[in-house]
This record gives sequence, structure tokens and C-alpha cells, in this order.
Amino acid sequence: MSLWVDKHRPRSLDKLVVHSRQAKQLKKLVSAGDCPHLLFYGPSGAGKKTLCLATLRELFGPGAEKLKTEQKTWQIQLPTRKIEVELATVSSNYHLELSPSEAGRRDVHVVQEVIKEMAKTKSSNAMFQEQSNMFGAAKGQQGSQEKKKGEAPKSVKCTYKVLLINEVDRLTSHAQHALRRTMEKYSKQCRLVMTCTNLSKVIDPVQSRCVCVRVKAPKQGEMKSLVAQVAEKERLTLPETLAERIAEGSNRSMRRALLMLETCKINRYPFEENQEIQLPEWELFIKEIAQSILKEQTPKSLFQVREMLYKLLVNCVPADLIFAKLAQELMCKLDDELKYEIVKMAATFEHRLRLGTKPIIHLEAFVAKFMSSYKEWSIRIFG
Amino acid sequence: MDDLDDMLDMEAEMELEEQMDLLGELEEEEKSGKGTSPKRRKVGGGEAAPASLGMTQELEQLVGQSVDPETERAELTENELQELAATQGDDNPSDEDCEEEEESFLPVRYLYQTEGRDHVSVTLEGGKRVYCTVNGEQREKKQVAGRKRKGKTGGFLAVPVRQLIEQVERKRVQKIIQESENLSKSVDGADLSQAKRADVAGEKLLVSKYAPRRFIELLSDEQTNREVVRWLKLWDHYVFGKEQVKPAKPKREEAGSFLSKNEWLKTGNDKKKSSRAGNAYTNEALDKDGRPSQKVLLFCGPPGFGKTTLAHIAAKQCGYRTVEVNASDDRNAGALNKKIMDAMQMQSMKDGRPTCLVIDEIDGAMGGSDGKGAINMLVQLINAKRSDASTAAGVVEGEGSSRRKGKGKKADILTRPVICICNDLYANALRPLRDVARIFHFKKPDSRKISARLRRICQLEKIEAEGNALGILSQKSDGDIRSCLNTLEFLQRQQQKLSMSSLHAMGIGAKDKVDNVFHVMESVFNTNSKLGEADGGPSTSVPRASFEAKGGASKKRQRVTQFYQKLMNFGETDLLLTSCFENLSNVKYQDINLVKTSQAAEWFVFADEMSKGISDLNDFSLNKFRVAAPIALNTLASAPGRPQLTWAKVDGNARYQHRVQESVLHSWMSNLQPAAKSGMNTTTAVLDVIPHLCKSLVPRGLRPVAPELMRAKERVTLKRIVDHLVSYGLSLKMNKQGGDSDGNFRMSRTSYSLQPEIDKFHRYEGLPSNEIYMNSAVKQIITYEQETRKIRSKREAGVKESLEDKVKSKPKDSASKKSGGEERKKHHEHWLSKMRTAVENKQELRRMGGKKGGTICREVAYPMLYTYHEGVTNAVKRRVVLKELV
Repeated sequence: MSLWVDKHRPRSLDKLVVHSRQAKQLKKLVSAGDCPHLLFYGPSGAGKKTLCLATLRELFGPGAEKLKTEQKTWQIQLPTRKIEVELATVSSNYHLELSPSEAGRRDVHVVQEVIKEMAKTKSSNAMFQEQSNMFGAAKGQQGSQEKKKGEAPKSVKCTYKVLLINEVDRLTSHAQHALRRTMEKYSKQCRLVMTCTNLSKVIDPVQSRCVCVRVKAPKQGEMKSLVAQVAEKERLTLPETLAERIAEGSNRSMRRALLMLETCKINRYPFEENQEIQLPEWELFIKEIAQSILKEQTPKSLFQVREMLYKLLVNCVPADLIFAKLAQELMCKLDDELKYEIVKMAATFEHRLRLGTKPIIHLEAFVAKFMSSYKEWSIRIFG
Repeated sequence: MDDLDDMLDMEAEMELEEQMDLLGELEEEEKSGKGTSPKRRKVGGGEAAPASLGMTQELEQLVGQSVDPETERAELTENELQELAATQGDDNPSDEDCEEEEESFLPVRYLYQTEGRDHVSVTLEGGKRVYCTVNGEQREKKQVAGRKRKGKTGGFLAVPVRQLIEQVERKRVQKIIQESENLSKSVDGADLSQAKRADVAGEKLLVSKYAPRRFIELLSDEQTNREVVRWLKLWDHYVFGKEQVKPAKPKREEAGSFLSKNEWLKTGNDKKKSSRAGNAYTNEALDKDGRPSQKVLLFCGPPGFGKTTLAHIAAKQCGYRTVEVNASDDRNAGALNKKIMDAMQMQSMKDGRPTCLVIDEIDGAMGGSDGKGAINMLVQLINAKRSDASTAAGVVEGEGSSRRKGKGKKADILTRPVICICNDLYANALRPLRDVARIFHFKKPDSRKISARLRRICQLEKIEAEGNALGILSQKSDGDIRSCLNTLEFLQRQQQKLSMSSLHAMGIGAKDKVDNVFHVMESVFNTNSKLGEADGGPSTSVPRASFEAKGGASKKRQRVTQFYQKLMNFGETDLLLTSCFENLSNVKYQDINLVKTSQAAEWFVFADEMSKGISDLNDFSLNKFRVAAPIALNTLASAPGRPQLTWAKVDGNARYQHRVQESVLHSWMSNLQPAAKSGMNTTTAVLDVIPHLCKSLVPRGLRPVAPELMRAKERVTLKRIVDHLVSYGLSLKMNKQGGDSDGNFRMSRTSYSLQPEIDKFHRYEGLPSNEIYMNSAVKQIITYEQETRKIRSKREAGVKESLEDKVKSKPKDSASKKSGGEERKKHHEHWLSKMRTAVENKQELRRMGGKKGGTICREVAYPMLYTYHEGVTNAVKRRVVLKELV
């Protein structure tokens, strides 16, 4: 038993509600038992991972759902020293899932090492197939097996393992370049299925080696029907308006929508139409920051804002998200004249953050610049 | 023809004889220092041989010039020749060989060229070795012939030999006079006269040339100097005392048992023989062996303060010969041990002085395992103690390295003073040594003393120095005498004089030193920060650029350049930038529209981009652009007066906390169940999942009653909470401070937080706190449920695992079963045994089930079937007859 997000995640491509078109295409793609490298991209909570896992299941049968977590350690011999990289992985007999971006700047080694390792060890399926090819008796076996399995008649055909890489866009460019060679070299034994939110941060060579699948955020209507569906499965009566509000507040992220629904249910059930939808704390905090920015534009308040920003960063809120949210919050309360400017500012500084190292410096530069132009504007208007 | 030959020979012989005499004379005159006299004396040729050989060459040159074709013969007066002949007659036989050498005139380079005749080998001045043949009979003939002829002919030379000789003589005299003049000049330089002579001998760096040679010449702190000597004197009793230990007889030395420092400090109160050190401190009392209680000195201080010099001079003053071990030597434990042993057991053959070991740069190259070993060895040696004579010899307790040399019979103890020198006292490797050594911190020598010494040296070296330039130089170098002298030397070589402008503009003498970050920051944030001040120290009279706008553009440029230089010299740009970033709020500068602040912030952004470039590309040349940010800050956000600056720690703290949070997150996520884990990544976990998860754990409407008595709704809530706790690997932990302070109505409730502390992620100041409040009874219920759930799941997992182990072996069997004939034979034994075990296992399972009752049996039996269906293998199901396989 887990959160509804995980509980109601569709397991097979057939059961997908939201991206049913993509699901159909994917099903066709892998129906031959082979699959190219895949790259799913789309915003958070759009269903990339669900698609991935369903595709894997389509390829390998229910065996791909027998997962285990493992804390893997790779010992990597560099020319000068030996380093150890530890990563948490989720794996089944057929695939291995990992987020190399968690290794930070060492992700290059992880990418190279893990793929080589996978290429070295054949999947049990491949072994099985080889053996069954060897002997004529295998045919009958296979037939009987197919009957028993029913769902995954093609599973035997896959002689490769699948490496599932999360957040490819967060890999350093070194790692991405490392990927591009290994992708080709070991493509016989190992296929890559990758997910990312921002396709433009994935280098072109990697993109061109993959079939890129766009997983867009579901539309408002879809969200609403999804929420309603889950509520139905949980045997809840969900008022129409609340469903709408949840769909709205979720920012078109299915994960958030379902989590919100669950929190709502915990807070009050039976639902009320005008029930409060709780936002995550970090969003509230950013709202507060925006308020204090607009309230006073002095160096003193700037340094107070700095403290608050530090807090957000400490709690692992990504800086680019802070930029986006903060700009959004500020924009709600701004004159049209400034709206254009603030978007430009936020974009500029977010870009510069990419080129820099310390988020706080860039965030503060953004806030300072905004404060300065806001003050100038307010003096001009109100005198 | 023969005649002619003879004659030539004769002539040459005579000449050479003449020269030899003369030169011998000169030599003696030189030695006696009397000056020269034209009077010729008879000197043993043999004595003068080495010197005359050198002179011969000189003469040869002269002769070569004057000798013309044979027809042109110079006339030697008869008298002269007679005299020559007379001197010749007196020659004693021992001289003959030498004469012969010269006589043969053309010494041959190789032995075979002597054609087997008698020869004498001679090493010339340049180290060349030549062979001169000897022919006695011929010589006699020639002598006769020469006497016959002396009336008839003069010589072959254009200039008579005597004149030539006189020429040489005159030259020689002049040289000597000049030298003596030089000497008398340099004698004025009193104590440094030695140095001057050294200069004559060969080129020497000023540093070594003018290194202090006597105790009173030392520039380092008086107090330190004296105490060092006093410490060395403490050794006198042991090293030079009546009952002087003779290291040459080490057999007498008894095995020393290891005693800790404290112990021998206690026992070291035996002061009966410490009268020599009567005025010494009490803690400098000698130990039982009569050695000082602290057996090693450790000098520490920045380079150029005169540590090494002091060590050498103090040792010399106290009558020791110094043996230096520095970074250029091999310094592992074994090598150092050998050095120390050598130093302790040997005495200089020349003057019989005992040795004092100086281990220089002990911190630098002593790093690494080798260095550590060496230092440990040293410490062991220091702590080793000669035990009383009564104790049994040959017992050493665990002193492997110190025992190594003594065949296990004796323990080496430190019998000679050892002085260690380091720059960084707190280097890791030195830790053991710090505890046992007497430490001297070297202070900066008085800059006036330094500049006085520099002036003296400038006088002697004839380096022109402008008035106060030397003072500035000594200040600039921050007490580093070595760097001062090197700067002077540089100028001397460049044929330049030391002037203010050169000092200032060239940046010479500026030492690469660690500046205080506060100092630099102050100059950044202070409008009035003057660059002359920043560079040369406050008391210098450098012509400062005034920045009050009247200077114009060039002044400003100069100012910026100097400031830039200073910032570059500071080196730690990272630290400077963070410090400036954090201290910007402390500066009170005028800024109405926040324009300046935002510009300053953008400069920080720029610097940060450069930092990224540096770290990514390893291109440190980008550092020069980073420095631009503080310069811009100075123009944007500086204020008059001294700002309140604080040490930058906010950023560091934040980064540390961030790391902590990250590690919490990672450890939590890595232990998640796979289904939950693959559904999120770290970002989504923080942003979406954790806040909601934490909210879902609030036990709303849960009464503290037994689960059996709960309403259906409550049971659902309880189940949900426990489910979430278990499936996300969380547990509740009571907060220490509790929620009591929150309000009276919550008195009965306690706040709980999660373990791992993922609830921290959604806790922000100023927002309603999200701690989970609940009655302790409710908590108990939840924990109880959680525990039972855990136990249950563990048991299930255990059963499953054990079954899986058993099933695991089967896929192979199935594979081999299906394999063809050859394969089959190969694996015959292998799979057969496995089959047997599989069957046995099965039987065992069945038996167990029968014994323990139906339920377990079923539980066991089910997963078995399940694994089978999983499709891993279908081997079990097939009936196999043994016949089929064999």
C-alpha cells in the first residue's frame, strides 16, 4: 500500500488513459520484440515514467515488474586515483534504472561503467534464448511457456537488457558525450530508455540516436477526468468543482493532482466543494518572498530575502524552479509595463545561473535588479 | 745539425733554469709578504716546481712572441750567461728531474710518445697530465757544449732572457700590490671581510655571502637566540662533561625501556650536576643521563627569518659541528636513523668536535608515510631512555626501529642535540614531535635591524640605494631577509640602483605572502583606501596617488592597476568574493534606487560565471577577470569609514546544511521500495511527494483506544498511516523539545517528527509548522501496528527467500537437461548432484510441513508454485527418468 500516485499508476500500455495515442504507437514499436533507444521528454508529472515502465512490461512481460532496489557501488580507476561512486538503483532481471545525475560531476564514470557492465553480463533472457535455439526441443517448451504466460509472448525475443536513465538533461555534457559513444557500441546488448524534462538540454547526438517521445502535460479536461477516475476507484464521491480546482491547482501534473486529491481526502471527507487545497510549503514560502520583495525595496530587505532564498536552497528546491515561481508570483501583482521586464530578467539570470555555480548569487542579482526597477517605476508613477 | 740541436737544447735548458730560480724566489717573496727584490737567490727547483710550471706557460707565451726565425738571435751578455752557467753547476741531483722536465720542453701527451725512455709524469695546472722524458747523458754533453759556446753566441731569443724574466717579475709584483690594496680596502668592512674574500674566490649569492657567521651578527630575536644557546649548553654536561659518554663504546649502553615523557620529567629532577645550567629554567632540568629533558628543538616560522642560520651558528658557538639534513636528502625512517646514528657515534676527524644534527624543512618533504615513519622514529629515539645499570641488559620494549642497529643488545638513545626546523608547526606529520620537542616560534626580525644590515651590504657591494628604499624593502618583504638580499642581488646584476620608483613600479621585493582577508575587504569597501598604503604598509612614505578627482584619468587608472595587483596578490579570490558578498549588507553606502546594489550583484554574477569557467575548464587564467568584481564593488558600494566586517559563514553554513539535507534525502530514497522509488526522483520527491506524504501521516480523528474498539473510519486512518510509514520506510520519533510550549490546549499532545527526517524539507520559518502532534497513546498504537507489520513482512520475506534459494539452482538443471548428448555427458555429474539435492529439498519441505502443521505447509507450498509460474523455469514439472539422461 502506498500513496495513490503509485497505487493507481497504470501498469500496461493498454490501460493508459492519458497518453493512449503514444501508448498505441509504442506498443506497435515494440511488438516485434525489438526496440530502439527511447527518449521520453515532457514536464514533470506528465506520465513519462509510467510510459517507460509500461513499455518495459510490454517488452519483457510481468517479469519486468519484479523490482528490487540496490545500493550499487562502482569502483572506477582513474589515471591518477581510484574513486567510488555509489548510486541507488532499481532493477529487475531485464532492466536497470538509475539516475546518474545524482552522482554530480562523476556521472561520466557512472554512465560509462554501468553500460559496459551491462554489456558484459547478458540478460538471463538472452541466455535462455540461446539455449533454446540450440536444441530443437526448445520449441515445444517455448510454446507451452507462451501459453502459460499469455501476456508476454515476445519476451523471449529480447536478447538485450534495458538501461533506464532518469533525468538525462541533468547529466553533465561530458556524461552525455560519453553516452553517445557507448550507446552505439553496446547497442546489441543494451538499450537505453531515458527520461528528461527539458529536451534542449540533451545534446543533439544523443537525441538523434533515440526515438524521442514527447509526453506532454495532460490537458485540463484530461486531468479532471483522471482525478475523477481515481476517486471512483477509491470509492469516493468527488464534487465536480473540487475536481476542477484540483486539476487547476495541480499545474497539469498528474502526480500533484493525485497527491492533492489524497491530501484533500485526509483533511476532510466527505469532500466539500470549496474545500481548501493545500499547496506544498515551498510554494507558500516563495509567495511570502514575493510579498516581502514588493513590500520594501531597500538593501536591508534584499538581505532578508537572501536569507529566505538560502532556506529554499537548503531544502533542495531547484534554483530554476525558484526563478520561475518567483517571477510568476511577482507577475501576478505587477503592472503590465513591468511584466515584460521581469520575465526578461528572470530568464537572463536563470541563463546566467547555468553558466555559474552558486545559485544564491544569481537569485539575489535577480531580486536586486527587480527591486531596483520596481522602485524606479513606483517613484515615477506615484512620485 | 747535431751541433745545432745541441745548442738549442742547451739554450733552452739555461733559460728554464733561470726561470725556475726566479720563480722560486718570487714564490717565497710572496709568501713572506715582503714585496719583491731584484736580488736573485738560489732556491731548490723541486720546491718551486708546481708554481713554476704555471709560470712556464706564461713565459712560453712571452718567448713565443719574441722568438723569431733562427737567424735573428738576441745577444746575451757574457756575464749573464756565465752566471747562468754557474748556477747550473750547483744543481743537486734531485733537481735534475725537474729540470729535465722543462728541458724536454715539449712534454708529450701520451705515454707511448716517450718511446720507452725514462719519463716523469707531471700534472699541469689545468689538470692535464703530460709525460716528460729524461735523458741524463745527453744533458751532460749539452752542458759541455753549452759552456764551450757561451762565448760565441747569444741566444735564440729576440729579447734577452733576463729582460723577459724581469717583465714577468714586474707583472707579478704589480698584481700583488693590487691585491694587497684590495685587501686593505676590504678590511674596512670589519666583520664582513671574510665575505669579501669569498667573493674573490668565486661568485656567491649575496644571501650566502653575507650570512651571519657569528652569534652577534644574528638578526633574529635576541631572546630566542639566547635560549637556543642555553638549551645547547644544557647538553654540555652530557656531551663534554667529565663523565663524557663515549659513543665509540656503545656496548656499555644499557637497554632503555620506554618511558613516557611525563615519567621522565618526573625522574628528571636529579639536579645535582646541573650547576652548569644553574640559571636555567626549572623545567629544563637534566634527566638522569644528564641530558636536557626536552631533547629536541623545533624552530618554526615563516621563511627567511633566519631559522637555519641560527641553528648553525648556535651549534657552532657551543662547539658542535653541524650536520644538516634538508629536503634534498632522502629522509625516510631508515635514512634518518642512519644519519642520527652517524651523528651520535662519530666525531669530526679534523677538530674532534661532536656533531649537532640540524633537520631542516622537517614539515615539507616529511609528509607521506615515509616522512611519518621518520618522525615517529625520531620521537621514539627521543623517548628512549637509558635505564639504570642494574636492570637487565638486552630488553627493549617494542622499539623496533631504534633497536634495529644494535643487534637487539642496546637501545639507541639520543646522545647529541637535534634541532628541527619547520615552517608550518601544525603540519600533520609533526604532531608527535610537537609533544616532545621544545618549540621556538620565530618572530619577525626588527625591520630597522634589517635595513641597517642591508645598508651595510649595499655599501660593501657598492649598490646604490635611495634614502629610505632599504627601509621599504625590508618592510615589503615582511621580515624575510633572504628575499631582501635576493632583491638586492637582482638589482646588482641588472646594474640598477635601488630607487623608490623601481621598488614601487616593478613590484620587486613584494613577497608572495598571505594577506588577511579582512584587510583586503576593508580596502574594497573603504572609499579612502589608499593604494600606497595597501601595498607598502602604513608607515612608508611612498608618494601616494591622491584620488580626490584632481588626479584625472591617469591617476585613476594607476589606482585601479595597483588595486588590481593587490587583489591578484591576495590569491584567495573565492574567499574574498564570498566575504564581500556577505558583507555587502554591512556597508553603509548611498543607494536610493538600489541601482548600485543591483549592479554589484551583477558583478558577483559575472565573477561566479568565471568561477565556473575556472572549475570546468581548469583555466586559472580566468581568475584575473574575477578580480574585477571587487574593484567594481569599490567604486559602487564603498563608503568612508571602517565597515563592520564579519567572517563569511552564511554561505558555508547553507552549503553544509544543503549537503545534510541531500544526504538525508538520498538515504531515504535509496531504502524505498522499488515501486515507490521508481515513481519519483529527488526533485519531485522534495517538491511534491514529501509535503503530501507528511500531511497524510497526521492522525486526524484517531482516538487513543485499542484498535479493536475503533470505528471503521478510524481503522482506515490507522491503516493508512501505518501503511505509509511502512512502505516509505519511516518511523515516528518524539521531538526533544516537544510541542508543549505551543499552547496549553496541546499539553496532552507531543510533537513527533519523522525518522529519517524528511519532514524537514517542508518546514520553513514563518509558515505554520507541520510537526505531527498526537497523543502519546495514539503514537503507541501506531508504533505497535507498525512493528507487527514489520515482523509479518519480515517473516514473509524470509520464507520467500529461503524458497528462492532452493529454486534458484533449477534453471541450470533444466538447461542442461535439454542439452544435447555431448553437453549432457560433460555436465553429467554436475546436474545430477543438483537434481538430487533438489529432490531432497523437496522431500524435506514436505516433511517439515507434515511436522509443523498444515498452515505452514501450505504457505510453503504456495510460493513454490508461484515461482514456477514466474516462468523462470519449467524444469520441476517434467518427469525425468534416469535412463533418459545417462
